[in-house]
Amino acid sequence: MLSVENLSVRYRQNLALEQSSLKVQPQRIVGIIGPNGAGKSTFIKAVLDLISHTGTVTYNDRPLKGQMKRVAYVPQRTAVDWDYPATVEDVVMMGRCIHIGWLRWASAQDRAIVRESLARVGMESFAERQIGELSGGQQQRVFIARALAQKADLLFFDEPFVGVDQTSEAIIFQIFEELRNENKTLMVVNHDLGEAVSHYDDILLLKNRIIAFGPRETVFNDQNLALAYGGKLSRFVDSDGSTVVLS
Amino acid sequence: MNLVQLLVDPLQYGFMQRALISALLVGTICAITGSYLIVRRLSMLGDAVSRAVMPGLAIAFLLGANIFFGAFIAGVVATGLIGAIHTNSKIKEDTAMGIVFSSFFSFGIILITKIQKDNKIDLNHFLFGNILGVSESDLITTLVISVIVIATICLIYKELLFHSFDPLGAKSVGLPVQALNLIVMSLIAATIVASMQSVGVILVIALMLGPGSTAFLLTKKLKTMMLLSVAVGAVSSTVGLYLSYYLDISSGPAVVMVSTVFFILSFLFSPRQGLLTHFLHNGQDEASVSGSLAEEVYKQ
Repeated sequence: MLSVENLSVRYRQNLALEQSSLKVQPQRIVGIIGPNGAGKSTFIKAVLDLISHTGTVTYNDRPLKGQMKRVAYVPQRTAVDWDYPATVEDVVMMGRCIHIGWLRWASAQDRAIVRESLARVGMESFAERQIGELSGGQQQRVFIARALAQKADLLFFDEPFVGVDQTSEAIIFQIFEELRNENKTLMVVNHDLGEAVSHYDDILLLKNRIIAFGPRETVFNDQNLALAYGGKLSRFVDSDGSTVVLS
Repeated sequence: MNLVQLLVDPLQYGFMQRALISALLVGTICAITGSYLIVRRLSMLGDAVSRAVMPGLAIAFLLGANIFFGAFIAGVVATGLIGAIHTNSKIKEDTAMGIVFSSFFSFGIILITKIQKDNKIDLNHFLFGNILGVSESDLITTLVISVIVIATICLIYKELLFHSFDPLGAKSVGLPVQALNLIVMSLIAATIVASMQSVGVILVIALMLGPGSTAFLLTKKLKTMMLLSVAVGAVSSTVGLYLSYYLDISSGPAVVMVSTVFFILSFLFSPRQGLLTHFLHNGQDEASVSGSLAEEVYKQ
């Protein structure tokens, strides 16, 4: 179980995230939603100790800081330099880096894990491509493969669906569900309130503090959304019965 | 005189043999650490550090200590100061670099011009290099630094790759990113120090960036970028050295101009990115576009 207590983040004078506490059960896909500037990415980065913060984060009752091997983080696509001289295989092999350990080289087993991970996201035939030569969806799948290669138990994704095509989105959601069923915990930042929401087991609704957290059915309602988004949100049912939300 | 004689004749002199070995070593390590500067977008920091080493070597000379060690310390201190200024104020990193390197550089020049009056030490040699004056002990220093730089990079290559590609990702799995940063900065400072004698502090940045960016345009893996960069760096250094010998020109600028020629060729003719490559292929592209248009029309 991932347990977050009193997490706060300040950027200069501004409070980006205030006194946030929650407990995430294993085997859940948690969607982190909220308006722009609500602190969604900040929340993930603070949990992973990538930015300075106050509060504590534990995983299975021990500080998460000492168990980073079990954590995979997929950054926002815009945070990556796609001109970097690395192939698809290089990037996925980074997921093995911490397992291989210092002063050692990748073994045949590591290479096999990289191949398997690539196959799972349908990217095995792109292994030798430079990462900048891929489409947005393919790039995201490569990063998911890196998280798979890492064999992490806790996976964090920052806006994985931005600039991603339909095929890739479907593949990614399918992998999320498989991972959940393998007893892993996933936390996914997503600003999209449309159909995507139905894939999450739990919803964490943020607006610089936790507005609501819990199972999707109980949290994802007009009242909570109005609290997070103010009056700028309208929700209506489409002709095919799905819910459409405009903010 | 044939080509072989042209190449071999100068090597009958001890100073030319030392110069050649020094040029090859410097070309190699500049190419390797320069590749990190390029992929991490730290080129300006490399430039700043290269000038900031001046006061360190002057102070070390005054104290009778190893001038290479003094220069290295000054380079590392300057890097630390740049970081301290921009994290503790609203001054951005580029401005912090400008302030620190120009102050260090000025202080270094004042010290060296003072020392110059009483000692046999020449400011110009540090600024622009004097590869033909490489002594045996200079060569040993360069060799030791080169071995340390190359060995370090071989040993922690995969961690440096991860960290330079995705610093946040590397930190999230628990890699010691601060330590990796410090190691890279130290390797860069060490490379600059080892290169002072042959290319000088003003131009060392060119030898770090020229071969690296030539290779960057031609490769898709960091490892091959580094290897190709080493080849370009070593050839540039050697050719530059011979030009310097035969044309009686300063060694540093000669080496840099050769590496610039390589960069221009790569910029124009790189198969995937070259400016002229696109230009030459455009004719064919247009043909294929009209071809596919014809196909569309045919389908309808």
